Amino acid sequence: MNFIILLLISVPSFLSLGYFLKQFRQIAVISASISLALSVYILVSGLELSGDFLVDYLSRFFIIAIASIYLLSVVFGLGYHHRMGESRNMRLHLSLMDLFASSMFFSITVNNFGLLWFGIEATTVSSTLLLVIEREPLKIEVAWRYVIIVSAGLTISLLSVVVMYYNFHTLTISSLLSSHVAYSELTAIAAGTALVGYGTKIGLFPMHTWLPDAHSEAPSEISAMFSGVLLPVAIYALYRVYEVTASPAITNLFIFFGITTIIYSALMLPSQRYYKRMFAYSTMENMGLILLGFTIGGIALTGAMILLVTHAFGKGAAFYSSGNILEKYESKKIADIHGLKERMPYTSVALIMSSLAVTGAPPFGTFLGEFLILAGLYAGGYLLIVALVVASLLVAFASINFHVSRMVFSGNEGKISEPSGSQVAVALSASSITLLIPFLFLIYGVI
Amino acid sequence: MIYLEIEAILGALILGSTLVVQTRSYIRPMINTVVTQSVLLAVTATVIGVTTDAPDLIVLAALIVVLRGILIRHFLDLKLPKSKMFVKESSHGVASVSIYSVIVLIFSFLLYRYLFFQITQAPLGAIGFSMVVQGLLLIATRRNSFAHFIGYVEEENGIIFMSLTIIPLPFIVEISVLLDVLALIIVGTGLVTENVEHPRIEELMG
Repeated sequence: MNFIILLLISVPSFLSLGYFLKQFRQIAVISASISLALSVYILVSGLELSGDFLVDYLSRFFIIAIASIYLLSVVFGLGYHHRMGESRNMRLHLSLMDLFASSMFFSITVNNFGLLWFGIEATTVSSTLLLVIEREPLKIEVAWRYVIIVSAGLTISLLSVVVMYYNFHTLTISSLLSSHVAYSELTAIAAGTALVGYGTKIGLFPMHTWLPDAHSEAPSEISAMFSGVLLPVAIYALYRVYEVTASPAITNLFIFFGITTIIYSALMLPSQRYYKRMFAYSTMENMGLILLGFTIGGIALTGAMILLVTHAFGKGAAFYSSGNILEKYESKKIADIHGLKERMPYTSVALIMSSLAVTGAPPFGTFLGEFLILAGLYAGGYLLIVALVVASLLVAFASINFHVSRMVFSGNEGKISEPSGSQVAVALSASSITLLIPFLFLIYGVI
Repeated sequence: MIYLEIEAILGALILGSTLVVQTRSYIRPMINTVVTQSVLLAVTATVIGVTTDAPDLIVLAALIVVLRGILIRHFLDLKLPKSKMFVKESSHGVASVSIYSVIVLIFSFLLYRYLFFQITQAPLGAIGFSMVVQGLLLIATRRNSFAHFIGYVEEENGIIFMSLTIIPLPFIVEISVLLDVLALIIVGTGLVTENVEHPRIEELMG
């Protein structure tokens, strides 16, 4: 069964060589489709591995989320960058998307903390150039900030790998998970350094500074991949460390970082002037919530999983819609966007659905996820945290939906039409899937 | 016993190079200093490899020389303008930076003393730890792309030195870390434009 995981990692890597072929576009779609087919098989078959690779119920959901957003982003990107034709930059862009997906699959499945760190760092390497397909000075500056801040931060999590190896004399994740490690000062240091290091990649406050910049300036399909699946992959790495090193003090530390990230992003949201940047802060808020869910465990962990998968599609749809708007209006400013409802009816539906989804409105899966996380916090006696989370969620909900409503319903000047059908279809389908996810979880028997 | 003293001397030299990098205003000498630091790190790995009879550490040393001593220097050199010796960072006060870095050094030693030393009993690990902190300081205090690169390499050198003196990581992990840094430098050099200083941008605020 290792063969399936090897295929999952190597197919996108190998097909990134499509760069050299005339059919590079079709090859990118084939690569993403094969990955999705493999991930569906892994989920449906309930594949469990703990040898060279580690696959359990947790990683199976991450894999399906990565593969789905990878395919949607490739299809969206083909339409979004159609003007680039068969240029070298376009070929490189698609090849790097393949390598980016491959490095995420590697990170999610590898059964070694050292190689997990390598995989997370490899996602940085493969994704940096994805930000600069258009080679504009602002985008280059953003990519620079991303690569330096994230890499410098991740080096601190390498310290966690050293400490764990010193303490346990093994880095095999499954061995450490099954051995029920006792708390010691070293496990606390390992968890703390991992929190700072991987927290930089996740975008936890105050290590988040790269995140709003990168998400707002990246091409929209890359923003979707960053927000929807890259940050969750870093959360996965942090959670694996947490599973091994958990103690009451560490739990409180993780909760502290989670809640401060949620509060900070909620405070930043009302004053946002750029819609992509606004969705970036919303991602921070959701990552903080997911971290809380993973930290508390139990029903909150189930909530975090539902939120993670729904958020991947919801935020993907928000960024795909943003890409469509940016293409037609040529502005990222909220104040410059008017009358979306009449001018771009399908995109506006996708935008409204996705903004409701990412802010946790019922009946979207995020609502269920957030509810379960709050229930877990309440059951754990974290009443103050529950109050702070609810207040922050309300602020975020009001801010995002107010800004989006202004864009959709106000004014109607000039003639603007929808972009290509594939772009609209991707945005609509991603936003629709957010409604189905709770049912999929029910069918799968998680709840 | 003599090997321990050699390790300590090498550690002191590496720490010295870390402080020298902080005071450099000209980029080319800064690159030379970090290359020297990488070579000293390779020598340390060789010494530990010989004393502990670990051939993989000697291979690691060779790779450090090739990847960090030669290739990284090559890639950074490619991006330096023709008048390489005269590329200088505009916003850099040597006196203030020296004071900051010494204060941070003392702080990092103390942090290591209370966090790690009581458990690991490895005094030389403090050098690696302080290199990590100095690398972060370099990235935080400079606006020049090359200085950022060098800060990052210094950080990674610090982690390798720390792991060598506390417990060498499995070979495959060490190799992965080395290759990763090289890949990042290659990708990063692709982003270094003529404007190597990083100003505040209104669009990226808030």
